[in-house]
Amino acid sequence: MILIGELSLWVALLMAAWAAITSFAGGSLGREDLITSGRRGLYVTTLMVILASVGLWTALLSHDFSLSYVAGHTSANMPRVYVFTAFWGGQAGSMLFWALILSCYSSIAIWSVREKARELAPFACGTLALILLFFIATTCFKANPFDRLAFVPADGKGMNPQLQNPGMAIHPPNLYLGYVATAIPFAFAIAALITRKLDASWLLVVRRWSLISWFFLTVGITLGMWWAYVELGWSGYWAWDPVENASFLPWLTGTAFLHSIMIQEKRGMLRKWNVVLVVTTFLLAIFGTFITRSGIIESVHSFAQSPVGTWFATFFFAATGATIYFVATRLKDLEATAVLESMVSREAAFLYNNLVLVGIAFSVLWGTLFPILSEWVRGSKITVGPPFFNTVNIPLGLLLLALTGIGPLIAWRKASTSNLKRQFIFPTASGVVVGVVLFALGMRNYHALIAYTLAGFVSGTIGQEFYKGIGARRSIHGEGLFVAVVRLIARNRRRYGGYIVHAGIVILFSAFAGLAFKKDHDVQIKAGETKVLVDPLGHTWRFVSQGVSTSETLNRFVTAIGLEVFRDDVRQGILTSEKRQYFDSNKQPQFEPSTEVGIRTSAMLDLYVVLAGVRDDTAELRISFNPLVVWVWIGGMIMAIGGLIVMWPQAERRRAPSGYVATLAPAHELVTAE
Amino acid sequence: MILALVLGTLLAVGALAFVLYPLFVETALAPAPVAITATQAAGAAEQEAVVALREIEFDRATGKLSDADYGELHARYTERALAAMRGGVSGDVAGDPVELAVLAYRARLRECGTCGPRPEPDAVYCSNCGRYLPGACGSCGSAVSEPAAAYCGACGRQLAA
Amino acid sequence: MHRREFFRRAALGGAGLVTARVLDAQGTAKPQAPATGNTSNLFDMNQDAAKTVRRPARAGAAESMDDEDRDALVREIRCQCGCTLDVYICRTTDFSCQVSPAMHRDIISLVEGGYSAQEILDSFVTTYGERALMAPKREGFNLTGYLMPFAVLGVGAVALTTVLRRMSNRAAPAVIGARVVRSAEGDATDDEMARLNAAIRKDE
Repeated sequence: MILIGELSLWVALLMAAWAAITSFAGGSLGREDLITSGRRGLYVTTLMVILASVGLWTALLSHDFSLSYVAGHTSANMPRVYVFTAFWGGQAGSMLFWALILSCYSSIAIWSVREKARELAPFACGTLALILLFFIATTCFKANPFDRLAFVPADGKGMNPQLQNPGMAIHPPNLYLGYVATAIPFAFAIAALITRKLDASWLLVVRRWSLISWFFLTVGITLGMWWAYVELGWSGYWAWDPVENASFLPWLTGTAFLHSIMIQEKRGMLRKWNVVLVVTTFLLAIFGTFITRSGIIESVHSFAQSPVGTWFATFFFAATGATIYFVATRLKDLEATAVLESMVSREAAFLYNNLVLVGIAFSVLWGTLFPILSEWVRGSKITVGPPFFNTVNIPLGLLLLALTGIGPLIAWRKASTSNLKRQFIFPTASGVVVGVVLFALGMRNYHALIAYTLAGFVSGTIGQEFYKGIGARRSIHGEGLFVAVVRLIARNRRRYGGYIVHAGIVILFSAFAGLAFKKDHDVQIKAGETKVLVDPLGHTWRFVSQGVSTSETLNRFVTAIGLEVFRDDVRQGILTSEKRQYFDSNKQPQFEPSTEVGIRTSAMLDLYVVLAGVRDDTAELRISFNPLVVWVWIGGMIMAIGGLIVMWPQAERRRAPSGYVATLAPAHELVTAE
Repeated sequence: MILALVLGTLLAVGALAFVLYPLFVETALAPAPVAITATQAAGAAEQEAVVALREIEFDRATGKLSDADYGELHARYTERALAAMRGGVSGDVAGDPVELAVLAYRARLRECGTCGPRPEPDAVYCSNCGRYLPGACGSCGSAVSEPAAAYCGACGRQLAA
Repeated sequence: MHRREFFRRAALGGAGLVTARVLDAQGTAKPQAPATGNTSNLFDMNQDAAKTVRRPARAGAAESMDDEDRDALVREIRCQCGCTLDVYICRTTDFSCQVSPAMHRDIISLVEGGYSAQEILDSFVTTYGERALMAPKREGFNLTGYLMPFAVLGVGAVALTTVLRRMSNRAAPAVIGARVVRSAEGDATDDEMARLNAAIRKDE
C-alpha cells in the first residue's frame, strides 16, 4: 500500500498536468471531448492523491520507520490518534494533505457544476488542476513524504508533547480546509475573467465555497486561539504573530466578499469588485502560508534557503501576475447592470463595510510586512509587535463593529428619513444606555467604553431585526410565536444566520474589550506562604502555597505547585500548575519544557496561573486575571453555528435564485417602453 | 513489492484509459438534460414569483424596503405570478430592460433536440450531431425555424442577434 | 524555548509548507535538518543574546517608578532570545530562557538607579538596536507604519464616496421623474388574487 501510494503520487502529477492542458485547450477550442477528458483527469488526480494519502497513513500507522517522514514525526509509543494526525504534522505531509483537500474540493466543485456552468467549468477545472499540479509537484520533488532513510531506525523521534493536544489535532486541518477552499472561488473567478462571463451558477458556486472557506477559517482561528491560551502559558490568545495574521487575512477579505455578493445578487452591482475580492482572498491565503513558512518575516535573508519557499514564491508571483493580467485586461467586460440610487442605502452601507474590512486586512498585512520594508528603507531591524497592531486596529475594529449595527438597519436602494428614524431609535437607545450605565459604574477606559456602547447598539440592531422578523411572520403567515421563530430562521437562513454570526462578533468584541482590564502579577511564593491579590472586579484573592512537588512519570519529569485559592475568603479549591520536562528512554531531555497552566474559568474572569520555575525553595509564578476570556470561545462557537445555518442547503423549491431582484428600471425607460 | 508494482501499473493504465476514453469515443458524452415542458416552466415561474412576493412582503414589514419600492416590486412580481398562473410568459417583461436582456440572451442560446444546450451562441447547426438548432422568439415564445429569420413569424418582433 | 518550537510547529500546522526558519536575534542562520521540528531545537534560540545594559546609579537615586509602571515598561521591551515575546511574559512563562531574566535585572537596576522609562528604553535601543522595542517608536519613518493604514482607509473612503456620489447623481434625474407604479391587480380576477395571496401566505 505504501508503494502504491508513492506511485499514485507520480500518476497524480501526470494526471493533474493532463487535466490542466486538456481543460484549457478544450475550453478555448470549444471541444467537448477535451473538456470531458480534462474533467476526468481531475477526478483521477483526486483518486490518486487519495491513494497516496492512504499510503502515507498506512506507513504512519504501521510504524514504517524506513520512511524518513514517519521516523521524523512519530514514535512507536505515541497515542494512535496523534500518529494519525502526524500526517499533517510535518512539512512533506502537510503538502500532501493540502493536495488531498484541494483535489477533493475541486472534484466536488467541478462535478456539481458539470451541467450548469458549461462555459466556465473547463477554465475553472483547468485553473484548479494547475494549482493542484503545483502542490503535487512540490510534494514529489521538494518534500516527498515517501522519501526513505538509508537505514531503518528502531524508533521514531516522536512528536512534541505540546502538539499532542486535541486542539492541535483539529486546529490545523480546519485552517487547511479554510485556506484551500479559497481556491475554488478563485478558479471560477479566473474562469469568469477568461470567458468574460458571469452567470447565476457562478454566483452560486463562488458563494457556497467562500462560505465553506469562511466557516473553516473561523473554526480554525478560534481553536488556534484556544490552544495558544491553554497550552502556551502566555495568558493571551492572540499575539499578532505572522502565523496568526496569515490566517486572519483571507478571513477578512472573505468576509468582505460574503457581504458584497449580496449586493450582486440583489442589485447586479459590484461584479468587478467581487471578482477582485475573490482572487485577493486566494492570493492572501497563498501569500500568508508562503511568508510564514519561508521565514521571510523574521529576516529577508533566510528566504532563499528553503527550497519549498522558493517554489512557493515562484508560484505566488506567477499566480499574482496572471491574475493581475486577467483583471487588467478583462475586468471591464464584467460591467454592472444597475446603478446606485442613493448614498443612504444598504448598498452604500455594505460598500463602506467592505472598505473597512479590506482596510483592516491591509493594516494587518502592512504591519506584518513593515519590518521588511523598514529594514529595506532604513537598514535597521525593528519589531512590529502587539502594541503596534493594537494601536492601529482597535479604531478600525470599532468602526467595523459600528457598521455591523448600521448595515442591517438601512433599506435597499434608498432609505427614507422616516424609515431611518423608525429603524435606528431602539438600537441607538440601547447602545447609549449600555454606555451610560458602564460610565456610571466607573468604567473610564475609553476604548472599552466605546466598544461596549457599540456592542449595545449592535445587540439592539440584532434584537430588533429578530423582533420585527417574528412580528412580520406572525402577521403575514399567522403563525404562533414558536413556529414564527423557527421558520424565521429556517426560511431566511442567510439573513438570520448572518445575524447570529453578528451576535458572535458582538460577544467576541466584548470579550476583547475585557482585555483592557487584564492584570498580570509576578509572584514569588514559598511553601506555606500566603499571597493576596485584588482582581479587576475588586475581589480579593488569597493564595496559599501547598508547596512544590516533583515527580517522575513514564516519559516526563513534572514540577508542580498547588495553590489553595480563596476568593473573598471563600475557598475555591486547589489550583495546580505544572512544568513538564519530557525525556527519552535514555533520560535525555527531549523537547523544551512545557507549561501546564492552571486555569480557573468563570463567566466574568479567568484565573490563570503559570509556574515559571522554581529557584531554591521559592516558586516563581505569574498569576493573571483575564476578564471575559470564556466569551471568546463562546463567541467563536456562535459564529460557527451562524455560519452553519447560512451554509445549510435549502430545499430546491424554496430557493428562488435570489428572491426578488431590486433592479428597478429607471423611470424614463419605463415610460418609453410603455 | 512486485504485487504493488503490478497493481500500481494496472491502476495507472486504468486511469489513463478512463481519461483518454472521451477522446476516442464520441458517445461517451454526458446525456442531454431532460427537456422542460411549458407547464413545468410556468409552474416554476409561478413558484419563483411567489417566493419573491413573500420576501417582498417580509422586507417591507422589517423595514428593508421603502413604500415606494414596495409598490413597484409588488406590482411587478404580482403581474409575473398572475401571468405564470395563466400559463403564459409575463406581460411585464416588455417593460423591463433587464428581463428583455435575459430573454434575448436565452433566445440566443441554442439548444439541440438531441444534445441539449450548445455552448456556441451563433451556431446554426449543432456542432456535435449536426442537427439544425431551432430558436425561440424572445417576445411570444413561439419557435422560429428559419435559420436566418430576422423577425418572428408569430408576433413580428425583431429577433435578437 | 518551547515557544520557538511552537511557532515552527504552528507554522507547519497552520499551513504547513516550509519549516519556519526563524533567525536568532543576531540574524545568523544556522543549518537545520529539514522537517525535523521535533528534536530538541535549542539551537534555534540564542541564549547568548543578552548584553549588559547598565548605567551608574544617579546620585541619591530613588526608584524612578512603582512596580506597576515598571511591569508596564518591561512589557515594552522585547526578549532577544528569539521567542518574539516581551521580557515580562517570557521571563514569567519559562525559566529556561537565560535572556529575559538578564534583561529584567538590567531594567530593575536602571529603575533603582533613578532612570526614567524613556531613558531606559533609549539605553536598550542603544545597546540592542530598535529590535529591543515591542513596537517601533512613533517617529520618522516609523510614522509611515502607523499612519499608512489610516491613510489608505481615508483615501479609500474619499474615493468610494466620490464614486457613489457620481453614481447616485447619475441615477437621480431618472428617479425624480414620476415613477410609474402600475396596478397589477387591474386585470386580475378576485379568484386569481385570492389564489395568489393564499400561495404567499402559505409557507409550510
